[in-house]
Amino acid sequence: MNHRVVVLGMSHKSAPVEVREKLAISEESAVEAMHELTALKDIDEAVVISTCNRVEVVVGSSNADSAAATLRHYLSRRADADPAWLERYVYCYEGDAGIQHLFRVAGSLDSLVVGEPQILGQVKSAFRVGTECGTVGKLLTRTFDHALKTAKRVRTETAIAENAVSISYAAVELAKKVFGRLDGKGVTVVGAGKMGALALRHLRETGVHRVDIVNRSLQRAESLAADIGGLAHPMTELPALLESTDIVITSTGSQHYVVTRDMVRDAMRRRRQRPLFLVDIAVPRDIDPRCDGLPNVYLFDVDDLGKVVEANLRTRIAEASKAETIIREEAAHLSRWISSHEAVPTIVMLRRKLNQVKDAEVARLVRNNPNLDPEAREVAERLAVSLVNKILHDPTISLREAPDATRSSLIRAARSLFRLAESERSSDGNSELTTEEN
Amino acid sequence: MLTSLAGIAIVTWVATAALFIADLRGAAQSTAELARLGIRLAIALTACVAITLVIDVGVDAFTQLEYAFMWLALLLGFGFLALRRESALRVVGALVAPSAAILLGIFVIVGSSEPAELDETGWILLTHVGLAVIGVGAFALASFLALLYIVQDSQLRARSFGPLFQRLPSLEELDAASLRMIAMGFVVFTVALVLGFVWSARVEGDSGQSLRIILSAITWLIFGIVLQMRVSRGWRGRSAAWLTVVGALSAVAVLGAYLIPRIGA
Repeated sequence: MNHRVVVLGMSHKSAPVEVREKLAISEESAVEAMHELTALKDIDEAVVISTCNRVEVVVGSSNADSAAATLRHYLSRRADADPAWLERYVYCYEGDAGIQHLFRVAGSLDSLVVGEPQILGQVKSAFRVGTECGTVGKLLTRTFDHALKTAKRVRTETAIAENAVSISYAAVELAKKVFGRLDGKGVTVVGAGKMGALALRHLRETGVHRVDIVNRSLQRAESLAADIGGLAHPMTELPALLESTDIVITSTGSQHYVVTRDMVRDAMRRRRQRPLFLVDIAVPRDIDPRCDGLPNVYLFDVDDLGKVVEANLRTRIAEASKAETIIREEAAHLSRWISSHEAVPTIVMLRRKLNQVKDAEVARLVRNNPNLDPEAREVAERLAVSLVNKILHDPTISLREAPDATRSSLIRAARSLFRLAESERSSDGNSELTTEEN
Repeated sequence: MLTSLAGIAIVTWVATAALFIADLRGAAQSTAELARLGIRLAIALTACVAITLVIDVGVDAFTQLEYAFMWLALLLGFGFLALRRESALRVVGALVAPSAAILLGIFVIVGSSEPAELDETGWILLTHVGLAVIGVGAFALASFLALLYIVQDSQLRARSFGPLFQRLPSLEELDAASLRMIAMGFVVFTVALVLGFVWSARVEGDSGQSLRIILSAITWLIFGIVLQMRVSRGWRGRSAAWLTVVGALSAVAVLGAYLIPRIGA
């Protein structure tokens, strides 16, 4: 029977968090789970993917139906849950559908935020753990390698992972649209709130040169400066800082404008119209909205950043259809490879049988002609080898390249015609994908 | 042969322009790759037109202003190749390609005039035309970058974050590249202008000569102001971009003024 991929699990799409957490498998217990799984009936290989949004078991089996039932039983036992209750939240994909699902997961098409980059690392890590603990064979190695390759293709050939989908990243993205490179730029954060700190952390990653933190409480400013890096200033120094900085992020709890139009206009005069990028993520707003009308001043509030996120999410969803095409293409490619290997054990048996016939006939020839000179014996052996290879050539090609619909019947016919003993299938349960014919 | 080759080059430039515009409107990534391929092909074809012209007419290819339109198209192509090193600036192809198509179209329609008779001082005319074309080309590229600056600035202010916004480079990149082009163009254009005055004093001028001199002086003055304000006072932004566009239009008008005697004829 053919070796197939089976994926069984639940995700944010099929189950709420209170159900997912029942099934969650930590990285430490994943090793134990993978060993337990491969010890079960009809499960030859196993990898466990467990993230905050999904718990999935990917297995290689020569009996997919039986493997799926075994997995259901295993998971309900592990979660200590009623199988009927668990069944409402679990999905199962076998064969081509399983491959396609795994590719979609790795390509971040099945993620809560389409295109997010973490899932690729999580799939890679799950595969590495499986490989290290020896529960991964040839089928899953090939499948996961292909899934990771496909995910990289999706990321490079589509814009699915491009552009910010969080408010703080959106601020960085907009700043880049004004300044291009942000290294060497100065940032001033007004208010020591969580959002400002988050945006500042993202800006830090882009290599901004100087960070100034301004707050009513100098102590809090110093605390944030110690945490992220930068210089703490009292609020009174803000007008002077507007002259030297390039990016200003405000997130205070003030009930009136902290940055006024006059303050910005004066600063622009002193800074010789160098662009000034203002991000106001406070509600109520900290920066007078009329600042946006000043030449070379770019002001964005939290709603504007929301629009960036919305537009980027729309782009990602539009790109998802291109990614689906890539995934279908790559999944079909892998499925063809798996199918073509269905014939390998039969080809191996056929070759072994004909070689046995050849060896027996050569031995008989030598026995019956004790005076045969070594040269003639060599010629006879070469002839026999050549005959075997020529006879095997066409059946090998036919078995390998047969369409999926007729391959199974062709394999049965070959086994029946050549009386390929069932005993010769020993160890072929795994050799279907591990044995390469000569 | 020359006209057919130029015709093929025009079609290629037009197709390339369509690809660049489609890319700006958010078409698939392969469109941008096709556009880049198209522009290289268009530049190669225009270079073939130039080589054929030089073989056909010799040194006149460099002295007759009618041919300057073809040289300008080629120069815009090379300018694009120089700018594309900064990958974000490749979108300037969306303006280079249609402009090159128009310039080649003018070259085909206008044809050639009576070649100037060159004596031992003919190098003055030769250098004047060459430098003027380079100067106008640099100003044209500066104005394309300035136009893209205006568009991107408008997108930012209108909170329009669609494909066009995503594709266009940052304001600073556009501004810096435009300033570089203006600085280079201004130096070259100044020398061309001086040589032009020297040459016009030696020969009898045609009906468009006075207009050309006035327009050339206006162009030089506009870019002189832009450059001086930008370098010494840090002037930048939309108003600087608009004045760059006006200056480039004035430069193109200088070339247009050369066609007046032909139209009259």
